[in-house]
Amino acid sequence: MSELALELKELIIETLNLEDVSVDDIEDEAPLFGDGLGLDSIDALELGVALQKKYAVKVKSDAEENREFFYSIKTLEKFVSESLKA
Amino acid sequence: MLELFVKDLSVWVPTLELESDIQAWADGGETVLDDGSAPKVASVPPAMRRRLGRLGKISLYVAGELIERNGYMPSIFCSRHGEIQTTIQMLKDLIWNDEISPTKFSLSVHNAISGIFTIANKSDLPTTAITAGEQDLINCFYEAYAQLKTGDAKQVLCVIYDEPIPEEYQRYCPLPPYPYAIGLVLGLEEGIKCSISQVECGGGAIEEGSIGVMALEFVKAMLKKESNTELKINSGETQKTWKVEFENY
Repeated sequence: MSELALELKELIIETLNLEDVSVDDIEDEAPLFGDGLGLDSIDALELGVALQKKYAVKVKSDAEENREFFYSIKTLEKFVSESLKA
Repeated sequence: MLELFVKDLSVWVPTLELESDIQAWADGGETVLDDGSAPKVASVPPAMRRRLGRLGKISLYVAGELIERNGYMPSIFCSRHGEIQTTIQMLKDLIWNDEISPTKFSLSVHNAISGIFTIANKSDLPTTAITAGEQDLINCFYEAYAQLKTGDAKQVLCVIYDEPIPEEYQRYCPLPPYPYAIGLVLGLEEGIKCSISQVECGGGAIEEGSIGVMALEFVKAMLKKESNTELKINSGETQKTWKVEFENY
């Protein structure tokens, strides 16, 4: 697991106040929303705010590609690292 | 005059865990120091529970205890300030151009806690949220009485809760001194009988420091098994007083 992936998992657990979930419970490629971790649309907004605060990345509220970026830890990691480079 | 029966009671006050602690607090032998703790709310699923603020947790904790013992029923959630700590924090975030937490915003309306209560219990029975200043308890009783007299419900759950207001505003309103949630199951037949009436009293305004929180004063008198008590607030230059008589302990 990369350092960024670990950081993102910790951010998700802390921001969304996930009781009884540890970083090891979140799989890199499993879906974060719906079936996987069971997050919903408010969580997506909350996570967007947290990412903006921590990494200063811009998350557009209406962008269709958000679904891809927020799909799993792996896609989120790619999105954040590419945004940081840009 | 209002005649109501208290069928069951649940109290949450910081650090008072045992029934004997609560009794000692009512008797005046226990001072409360807020330790920042919140109870675990087993009656709300984890996915909803994680979004609750402290006030949401304590009020749903007493509500959960009472419906576990008495079954589900219509509910009245009553708070003078609501989640004032969260509200003021969001306003500060707005001023300082910080992003507002969507989770906090989604739960910031006055009836959010009652909403979570009905969703968590998958219920379509009536629920309402009221705010009525210092007279919150009396107005909660009026609402309960109206529901019991006009509806099909044989019992109504009242949850009265508040937390201290942020420091900046303390000088306007120092109450309550610590967070609390009081849950009462009210009916028209069974339990401790409470007869409540407003009384005329010529006295001028009561000294600021001697006014308590109405809901807490009521519960303490009931736990002490007093035969009657007076609940007072200031209304302009005069005081407003309600007399409560208790029977059937």
